[in-house]
Amino acid sequence: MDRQVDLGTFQRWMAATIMQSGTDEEAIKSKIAQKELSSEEALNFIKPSKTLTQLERLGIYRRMYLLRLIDVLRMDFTAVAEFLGEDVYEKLIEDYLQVHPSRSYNLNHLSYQVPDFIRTYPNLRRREFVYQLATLELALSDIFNVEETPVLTKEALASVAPEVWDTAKIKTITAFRLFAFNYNVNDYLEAVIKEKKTPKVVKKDTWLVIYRRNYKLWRLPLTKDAYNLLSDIASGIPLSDAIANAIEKSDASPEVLQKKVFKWFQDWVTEGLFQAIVVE
Amino acid sequence: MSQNRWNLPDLGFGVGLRTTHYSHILSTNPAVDWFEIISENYMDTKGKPMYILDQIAERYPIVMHGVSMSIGSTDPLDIDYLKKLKELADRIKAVWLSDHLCWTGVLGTNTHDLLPMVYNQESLKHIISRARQVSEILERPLMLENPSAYIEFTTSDITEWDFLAQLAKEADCGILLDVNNIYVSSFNHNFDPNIYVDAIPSDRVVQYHLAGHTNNGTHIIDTHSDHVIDPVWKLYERSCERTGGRATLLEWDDDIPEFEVVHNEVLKAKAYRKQLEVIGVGA
Repeated sequence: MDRQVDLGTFQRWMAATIMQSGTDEEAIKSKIAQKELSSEEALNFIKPSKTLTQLERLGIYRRMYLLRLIDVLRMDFTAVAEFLGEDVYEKLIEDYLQVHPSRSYNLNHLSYQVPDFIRTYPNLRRREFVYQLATLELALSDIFNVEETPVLTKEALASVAPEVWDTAKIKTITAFRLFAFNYNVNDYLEAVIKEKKTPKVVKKDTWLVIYRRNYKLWRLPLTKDAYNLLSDIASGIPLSDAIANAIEKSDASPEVLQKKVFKWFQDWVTEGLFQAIVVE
Repeated sequence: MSQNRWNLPDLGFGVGLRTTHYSHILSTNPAVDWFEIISENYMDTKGKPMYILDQIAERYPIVMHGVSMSIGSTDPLDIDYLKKLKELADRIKAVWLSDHLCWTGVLGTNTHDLLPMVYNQESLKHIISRARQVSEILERPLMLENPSAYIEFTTSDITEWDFLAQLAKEADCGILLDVNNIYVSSFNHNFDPNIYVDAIPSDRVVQYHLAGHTNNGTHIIDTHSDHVIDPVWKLYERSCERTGGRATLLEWDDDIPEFEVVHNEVLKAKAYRKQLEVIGVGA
């Protein structure tokens, strides 16, 4: 070595070369790596082994970095990877990591920006479908990790005095997410999970609540009317107003919808979507 | 039996806790002595992982093994991470906790890999200082594991074993001795693994790791994907002759077989320990 390389310089150089995309040679010649060590200095800095050159030894770390994170994100975005095919998926993640490298000790955080990255990623076939599919898969990962909250029981519900229902709000459990998609993303994900033939991608209005009950994840398809009602409830609108809104937005008659609302509400309580009635 | 510096217990023969074995463990209560968890898998989650871990921690001793402390990094120590690590250790009453002699990233990034140190005085001084701080924050001794390495640097002027021994002494750290990692690095760097084993101060060794690896001919990768090979068992036996035996754990992280296969693999270590008892080593 022509000069002493301090610990900070060494680490900035090694991290830069490992995280840089392209070939091993391109990585050590990249601007970000050469800001710390010239490619000649870098090669002098590494010892060859009896069987591997300096660059081959560095390459082991470069490949392990990428493969590890591609595998980790594949667990979160199994259906996206299935749809894109291995080569496109791997290139997408390699490019993603250039923009959004991990900045946390926790790998759970690595996936947060993937849907938004997909939305602007060039030359991606069926980009909007892939974005919506990634959004759904990310939400499932997200609710896997949130806290378990108490569930509203039928007894607690029955004990609410009739006169307070006009202003009562209903608090959903923490592991609850509501979505309106316009592609058949839930059908596609279902096929991937069950290892069945995946459906053709088509535009399809899809209303969905995903939630966790007893530490298991569930996806419950909704009608548009049910989605509107549940969406209002989740946003903190009092139940009576939420029902009135749903009736107003629906094409169904008020009598028909009221019957449906009663049934939906029973189902949602049974499924454990709510944690409490909030009376102000 | 010779003691470690902190008189931490010999927990016997443990297995790395992996999600694929959760239901088997909870439903059958296998007669495994203890479990080791990957610390970060149970941090920042309030879902199923903690629900499962709390139940297992009620039944078995748990040791925590981290992969993101980045003790060798030139970035400042992540105090938030260390506080959460301590909270988890307190919650599950971890018998001890460990991480690796490595760095994982710099400038705020994390490669999620155990990157090798340059072994020289600058690195040694740097890590000694940080390891002391970590022990203070965690309010317990820190155990550091020797990593597998695939690269060496021309500016290293201390051997890894001397570096680890000096670090343990100066920072008052324990050593989690991974005999498979010694074997892997000895193959990749062409040194005699026996020299490494013999240079490690016995009173600092608190735990052993055993694992399988993948030999690619030109180099070995520490994949934790197979049975332990005979030369690694020999290194384990050699080290146990010096320490009298310590808590021993098998790691299996890729192509994970059924729980009994993993458990039976670590129980092979018992045979080596029994031989030592017969000849009275460490007594």
